[in-house]
Amino acid sequence: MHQENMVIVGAGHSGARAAQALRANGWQERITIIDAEGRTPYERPPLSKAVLKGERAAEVAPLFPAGYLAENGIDFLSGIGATAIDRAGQRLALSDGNTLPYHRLLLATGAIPRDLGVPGRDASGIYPLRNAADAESIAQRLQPGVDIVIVGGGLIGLEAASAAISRGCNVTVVEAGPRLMMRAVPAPLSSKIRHHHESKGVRFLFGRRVVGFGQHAGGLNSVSLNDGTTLTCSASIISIGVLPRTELAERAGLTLDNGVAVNCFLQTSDPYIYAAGDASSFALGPGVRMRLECWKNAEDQGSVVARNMMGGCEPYLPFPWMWSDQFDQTMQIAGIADGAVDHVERQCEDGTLLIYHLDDAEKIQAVSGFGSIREVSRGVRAGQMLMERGLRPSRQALQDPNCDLRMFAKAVVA
Amino acid sequence: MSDTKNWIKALDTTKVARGDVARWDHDGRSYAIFRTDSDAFYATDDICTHEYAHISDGYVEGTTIECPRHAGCFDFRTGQALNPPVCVNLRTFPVKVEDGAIYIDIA
Repeated sequence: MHQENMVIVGAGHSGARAAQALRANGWQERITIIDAEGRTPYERPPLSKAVLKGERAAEVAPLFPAGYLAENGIDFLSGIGATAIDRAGQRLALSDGNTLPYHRLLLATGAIPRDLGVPGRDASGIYPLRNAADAESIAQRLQPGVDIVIVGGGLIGLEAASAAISRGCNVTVVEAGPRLMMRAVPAPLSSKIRHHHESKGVRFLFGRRVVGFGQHAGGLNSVSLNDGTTLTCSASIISIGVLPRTELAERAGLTLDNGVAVNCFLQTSDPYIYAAGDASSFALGPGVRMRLECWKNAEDQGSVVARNMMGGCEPYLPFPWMWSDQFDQTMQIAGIADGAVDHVERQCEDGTLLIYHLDDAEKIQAVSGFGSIREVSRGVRAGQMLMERGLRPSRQALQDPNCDLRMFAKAVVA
Repeated sequence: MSDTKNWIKALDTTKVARGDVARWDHDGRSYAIFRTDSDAFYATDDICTHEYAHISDGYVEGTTIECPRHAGCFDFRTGQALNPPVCVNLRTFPVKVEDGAIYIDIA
């Protein structure tokens, strides 16, 4: 009997979640996931944390519960890539020479790490940090007393620094910008994060770029910077951001715009093809696009795209939220600070710093925090609740660590 | 009917604010004790079923507790896991209140 097939390219978070959501929403015909990596689909967040610390293997955090794929009749073609899309014939060409007809196609192709095109890049001991194999390779290098240079002071670089220090390495982070996590957090929070890392032994070099890698017998032994500094090291992690993986969409002639361009229903310029996760550049409004590289976005888009592939027309409304664990501290960011004109700082008794970003009407646009898990999570969650409900507590209330912000929501309900 | 439960005195009711949660450590294990806005008390395991975190550090809204680490939610009355990344229910424990103290049957 002929069955329509929902085909998903990529078994990362959004692809896996979409497959589950298709079944959960009643899709009874075929579902096929193809993924070139050749591993059991896994959660990415632990890679830069527990896996680097050597506390556990990547497979310990699988995306699907054991037995799920078989029990739910989902075909998983592992170790096979997608090579081309025949849009007119609605068929996907695979790296093993087969083709797969699709009813709807989901591109959940993710992102690839940016690389450094500098001399000596071919030395062994230089790693991106994106997938399980990367994390396992790096974890083996993080031995006590080893000198590690981390290129890039963003979220992944900072988590890697935290893991490397916890394993007794000597860690230097080279950041081209003037401060940490420029894109994601405001200056006071950058400063707090920097001081915490420095107190644990991380050394930072700001405003400098890597111009080359030195090697001996094929293995990395130094990193050269544009100010003439040479850093001795035996391993380096390149964490300077990612690029959306768009080759397949590009070859198929789909519209691209900092990723695979999709409308608010996560549908590409071909109505039978959708995109979700890190590769998807989604429409927020006229002329406004966004691409988010976080777990929450992959999670939420996976669910929405599944319903739309089944014929729904549910717009995707992002509620960006992300977390990071660094040493004994946690960081969370919710919302989008672009467009905020001012901010209020909330300094908690245990040292946690929360920052609420306000627009010109004093509404909260975003909230970010670094410190204890209790204060960060409660402060950020309260900020999300206030944003979602459009509530505007006074600056004084936001500033006062003893003011329980949940009371504003209760006051409205009551 | 006689009370056959193995009640252990946990916290005074004053230690748990309305609409909030408090942590109680006992015999090497942590419990989360909840008090709703209408003064009903509930108890669950305090460690999230997903990754290591004390859910009593999390955010209570209505009868839901959100884990502070990855925002997985549970209905604290039943322990039911409500959204990813949590998919395993929290264990719950019988609770009674007597003379201003909360008792839990942790057997």
